[in-house]
Amino acid sequence: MTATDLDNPAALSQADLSQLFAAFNDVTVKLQDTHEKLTGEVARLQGELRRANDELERSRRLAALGEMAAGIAHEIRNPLASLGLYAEMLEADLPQGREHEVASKIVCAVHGLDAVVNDVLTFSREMRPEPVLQSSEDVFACAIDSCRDVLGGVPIAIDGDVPIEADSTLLQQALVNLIRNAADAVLEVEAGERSIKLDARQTVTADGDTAVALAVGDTGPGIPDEVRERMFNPFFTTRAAGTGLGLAIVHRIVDAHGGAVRVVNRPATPKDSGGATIEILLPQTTAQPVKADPRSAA
Amino acid sequence: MKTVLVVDDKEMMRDSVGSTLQRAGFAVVTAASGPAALTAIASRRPDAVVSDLKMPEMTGTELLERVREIAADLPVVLMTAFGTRS
Repeated sequence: MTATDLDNPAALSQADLSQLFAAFNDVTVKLQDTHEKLTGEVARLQGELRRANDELERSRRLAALGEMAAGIAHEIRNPLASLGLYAEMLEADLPQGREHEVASKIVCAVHGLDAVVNDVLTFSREMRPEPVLQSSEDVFACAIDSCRDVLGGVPIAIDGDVPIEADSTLLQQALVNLIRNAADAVLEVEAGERSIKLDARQTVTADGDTAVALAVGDTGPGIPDEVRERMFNPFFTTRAAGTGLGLAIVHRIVDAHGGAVRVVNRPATPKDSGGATIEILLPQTTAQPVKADPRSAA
Repeated sequence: MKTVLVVDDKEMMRDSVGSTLQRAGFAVVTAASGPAALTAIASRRPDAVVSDLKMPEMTGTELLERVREIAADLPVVLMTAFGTRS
């Protein structure tokens, strides 16, 4: 086709017109494609912006909550500490009997209140993980030690050992909270069926990234769907005692490490009586930790 | 008997911490503020100081700094209800 042809449309041949339409169609399709891609990109960016704004708003709320919680904690903890000391003095002075029992109950209640204040502080505190390389087996062993008071006679096993790069204190806290939850869950089944398994392995996330999975599995009754949807919400609890912050704290800790939490209900099989497993997924590290030497343990 | 100086702006804390220390076998003197604690130390040096961190007028940290100037080797324990290092 030439410029002369365009000046005189009547001179366009059928082939020219076909070529023109084909070119026009091609451009239209490309424009449509580009438009769709741009629309998709705008939607994606809007989504990212919305998430970033939500996250910012959440951070602001948490910062305000943290400041308030720290203030309240100070005001509560001072008299609470005095209350605890006075109650312990009474407990020591009173002979065994009803009054001694009452003093012991006050001591117990004070410890419970202190734990609540601790939970609120931990949840609302800004988390800045200081990752160190460690072995999952060591982390599990320390977490179990911190839960001896609630485990009773429940058998607990450790399986697998992988290197983890995470903040020791925070990861311990997350695992302790999960183990304590598992210990509560197994109380709902017969004593002979109670057990907890801690498992560490490499895995692949839903996004296809390789990760380290630290799983706490129990042989309890499993987690109902309606609970699964809300179990990480702050102050949500199914127990009479408890702040409802344990799993919310787990979520915050894992979130601060760039990880994720996965909840799975295991159906009963001939080899497994079923129950729930909560997995902490952390970004994988390629480095190898120095294992703790059991002989050097104090 | 070793003497411990308990510093806290709240009377109940001074009393409960002081009583607990007395029961543990220490002689206890108390001060309701950082400046009062410095006066007490200058008048009769205790064997240790247990102080609250958050106090009006002079914080526990400021008290610690002042104590270091006048009695570098005097043990000072700071108590806090905040539960964080920051």
